[in-house]
Amino acid sequence: MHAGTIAINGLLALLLAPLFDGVTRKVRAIVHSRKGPPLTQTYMDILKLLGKEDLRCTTSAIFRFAPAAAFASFLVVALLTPMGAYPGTGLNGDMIVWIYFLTFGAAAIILMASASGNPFAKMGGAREIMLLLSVEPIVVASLITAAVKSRSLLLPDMSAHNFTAGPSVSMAVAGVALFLALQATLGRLPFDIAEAESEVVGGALVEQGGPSLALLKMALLMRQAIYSYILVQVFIPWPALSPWPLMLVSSAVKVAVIFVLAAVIEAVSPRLRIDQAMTYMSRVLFVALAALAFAAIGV
Amino acid sequence: MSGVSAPLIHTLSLAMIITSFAAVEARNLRNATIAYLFQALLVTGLLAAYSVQNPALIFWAATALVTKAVLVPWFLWRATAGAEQETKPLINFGVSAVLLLALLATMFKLMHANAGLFIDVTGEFAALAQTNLAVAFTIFVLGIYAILTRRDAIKTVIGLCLLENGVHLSLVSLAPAIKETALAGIATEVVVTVYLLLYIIGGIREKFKTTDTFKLSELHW
Amino acid sequence: MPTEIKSALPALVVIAPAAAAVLIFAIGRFTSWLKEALALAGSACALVASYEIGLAAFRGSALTSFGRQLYADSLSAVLVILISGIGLLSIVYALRYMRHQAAPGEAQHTTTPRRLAVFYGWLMLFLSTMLWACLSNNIIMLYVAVEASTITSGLLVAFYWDKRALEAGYKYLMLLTVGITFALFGCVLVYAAGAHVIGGARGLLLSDLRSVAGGFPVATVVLASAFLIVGFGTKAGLAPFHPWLPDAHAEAPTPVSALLSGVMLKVAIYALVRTVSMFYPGFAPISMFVLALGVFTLVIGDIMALAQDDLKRMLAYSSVSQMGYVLMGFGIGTPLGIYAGLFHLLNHALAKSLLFLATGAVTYSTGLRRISDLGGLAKKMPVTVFCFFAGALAIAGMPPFNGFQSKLALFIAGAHAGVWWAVILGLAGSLITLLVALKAAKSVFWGKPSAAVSAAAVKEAPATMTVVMVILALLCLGIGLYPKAVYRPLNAASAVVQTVTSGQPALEAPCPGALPVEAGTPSAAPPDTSTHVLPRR
Repeated sequence: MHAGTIAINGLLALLLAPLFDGVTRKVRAIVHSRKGPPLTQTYMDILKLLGKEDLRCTTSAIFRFAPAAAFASFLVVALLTPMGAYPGTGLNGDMIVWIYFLTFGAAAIILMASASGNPFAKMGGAREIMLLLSVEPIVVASLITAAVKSRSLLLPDMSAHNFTAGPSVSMAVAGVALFLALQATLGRLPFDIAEAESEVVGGALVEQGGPSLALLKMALLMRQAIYSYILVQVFIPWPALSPWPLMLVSSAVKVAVIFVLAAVIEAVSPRLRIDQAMTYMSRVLFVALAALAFAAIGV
Repeated sequence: MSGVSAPLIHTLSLAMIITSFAAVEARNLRNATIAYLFQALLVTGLLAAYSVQNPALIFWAATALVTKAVLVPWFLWRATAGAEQETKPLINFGVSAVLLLALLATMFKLMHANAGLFIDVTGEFAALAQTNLAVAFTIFVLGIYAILTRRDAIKTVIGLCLLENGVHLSLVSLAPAIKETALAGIATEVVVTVYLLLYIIGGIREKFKTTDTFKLSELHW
Repeated sequence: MPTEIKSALPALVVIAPAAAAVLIFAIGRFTSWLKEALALAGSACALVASYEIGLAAFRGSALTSFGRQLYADSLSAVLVILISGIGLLSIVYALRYMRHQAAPGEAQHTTTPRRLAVFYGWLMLFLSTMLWACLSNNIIMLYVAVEASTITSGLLVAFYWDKRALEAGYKYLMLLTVGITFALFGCVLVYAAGAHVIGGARGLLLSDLRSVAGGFPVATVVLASAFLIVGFGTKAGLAPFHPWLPDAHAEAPTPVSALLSGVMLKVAIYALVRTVSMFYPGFAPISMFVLALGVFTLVIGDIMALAQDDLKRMLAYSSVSQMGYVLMGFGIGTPLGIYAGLFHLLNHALAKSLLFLATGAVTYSTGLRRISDLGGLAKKMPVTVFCFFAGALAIAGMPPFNGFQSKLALFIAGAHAGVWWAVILGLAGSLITLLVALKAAKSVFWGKPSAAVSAAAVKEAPATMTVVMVILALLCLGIGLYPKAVYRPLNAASAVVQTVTSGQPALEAPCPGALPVEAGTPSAAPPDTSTHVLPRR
């Protein structure tokens, strides 16, 4: 069953992430009163990119291998993320591994940005660091709240606990905190500061082309899917459906709903400056810490 | 008589401490007023929860609702019209948060350990009374912290209200059989004091053009 | 225990000024004389009622109203007579003084005739709350009344509504409210401990708590006393809680300053003594602490008073130091000590009010307040000079004024109890006070008239003001020459505190003036048996 779960998670991440992106583009188009691209457009974009020439602007090894490294680490994270098929991989402490690999992937992208030599890329990388520093603590705090409540560091245990124990104050507050930080974790307006098309011309992605760009895009799309799945599975896991394929489907539907919400917010929002974003995140961190306090007293 | 549920009390108490902290730290005075409003509502909720074991407290809860949750926030709202940003205090948010957490933890531990000085710790509701005293004292300390470290005069008034809330909450455990007239008297006084203070601060804003207490330096020595 | 008689008099004392206040707020601004007439009527009524209470109380009974919620024994009686008497005198003084402030030519202040109604209304409420505090038998209502006196005087302090007054008012309200909250803790602790022993309803009443206070657990007593001393001590202006006092007393209108310094501080000391002295017999360190606090206050107040240029601020700091003397007396704890403390309380009330009113007269005539701006007024304002001197010498403790008698009593009591360090510091403080008073008097009244004074058309203050000052000055002189006059009331009052202290009926405290000068009355020898627990050195 373990290997099967891993395979399922991996396939889901690879296959569904571009679909969710297609949903996002469609929703954004509808809000903008356009028709928009078909839902499968992102698949076609990635396939097209895979066939192009891999132009590089430097000989730096980091620049060369970073896209693959990012893609690989986010794939590993996807394998660890509960997506509705139980039980999980069974690695002890896999919340820590999860966070570690996520950060590793993000670090790979940032390093690649500074290695590229392009000033826009460097600016994008710097912004990414600042955003990461303000958003990561919120994610970590929410997950620690879940860990305290379920008395375990295993992500599947956390979501199972939420089924058995029912809603509680601390989990609700932590869920709210994570939801408030969602736009930033997804890297969407009003928080797409690091990849701002009109300000830093795509930031870290500016110098990539062809297959490397395809890998990077997949990595970023998978990251978005992962964060949404974590929010859904750990904090809003109900209802529990018994044959596990049904559970998979319902989780996917919930994640799709999240993506639609995020797309709507993105379509109507301006971009925040980095200092405004950090102020907002510090307030959300306060909420996440409050959730932790509630969990500490056992509520 | 059924006891009051401990998890409910704990949730309400923690929420109250969090909202008090928000009221002290919020730089926008209107947000601070809203945080104070929630804190007052939670105080009322706590009093109502305790009234399960002491029915006379319902009157206390009703008085608290009217004075703390309706009148005082209304006065504060009117006083902050048009002057919403607080003058920055000397201690910024981060340092303040850490200091406060340390203070609160210490107060909580101290009170829990020494509650026997104040109340009878052997009764059946002793554990709840201890928690109540600890929470009330932490809010009291929060209020004093606000009065001492905030530069804006209106923020000090909010600190005063928090201080009084803490004291009144502790009365629940210290003096359970107190008469309603005494309670009504105590509650009214706070409201009148707050109103007068805000009235004077209005005059200060008119004459000094600011509510920064550092500028109130006409009198010294 | 005195015999309790139900009576309407305590209720009348509290309600008359309050009713006057309500009427003034409602209809006072419609005619020019109505508010003042109502104020005079209210305070005169209170004075008469207080006098009647006094007559009954000094004969050994205690009057109660509202089912023992108001309780007038000798101690309360002395204080209410003091409050209503000085209140009435201040109002008479204020008639002319405040009108002058409200006159159209006065660009200095924002007083208008309409605001005068507000002034008198709050003044009457202020008097009413102070009277209530001195008569309250309910420990929680004592807190409520003291807090109410802060509230009602808050707008009075800020009355002139200029920068300095507003700042003073803000600090006043803020600091006193925080301070009094500590007193609330103390009151509630005492109530809780008492309710444990004698039940909730009776546990509120001071008269009943006194009898069981000896049996409270030590920790509760220490905590409660600490809270009560901090709380009521803030209101009484004891160091180190005194910073609000100079600002408030200096920036308030003069009649209000006279009441604040002359009377409100006494009410706070009364509340402190009423509550804390419950614990004297069982817990000796408390009285020692009170004594030390008193001496500390005395020294600090004197030193700060030396450094002042503003007349009113100097007087305010002097009030701080004199309250230290009063507390010293109560801290000594022997019958003579308590008598001396009460005596000094009375004398200071008279003398300090006199000083403030005289300063007000100077300000009224010249428009100036700073010592460095004044000079050479003696020829132009003889009555005021005489009154100012009377007050200054009284405060400094010079014969033949009343301050001498009470300070002498204090020092004798200290010597008998063996606390020589307190006596020496008290004497030093006295000398410094004398220095301060003389320096102020000299620079204000003698020397060449300063430029500002010559420029202003200075003449003597109007009759209503001078008559009030002369009455007070004559009282100071009279009590100084004939202290036996107040012996009976004060002895009865100190007996109230003493029964608490020693658990025995009052000893025959000698009248300090009955050192072998007076003839006719049998004078008891000073008691050398100190029944109190202070260690003899």
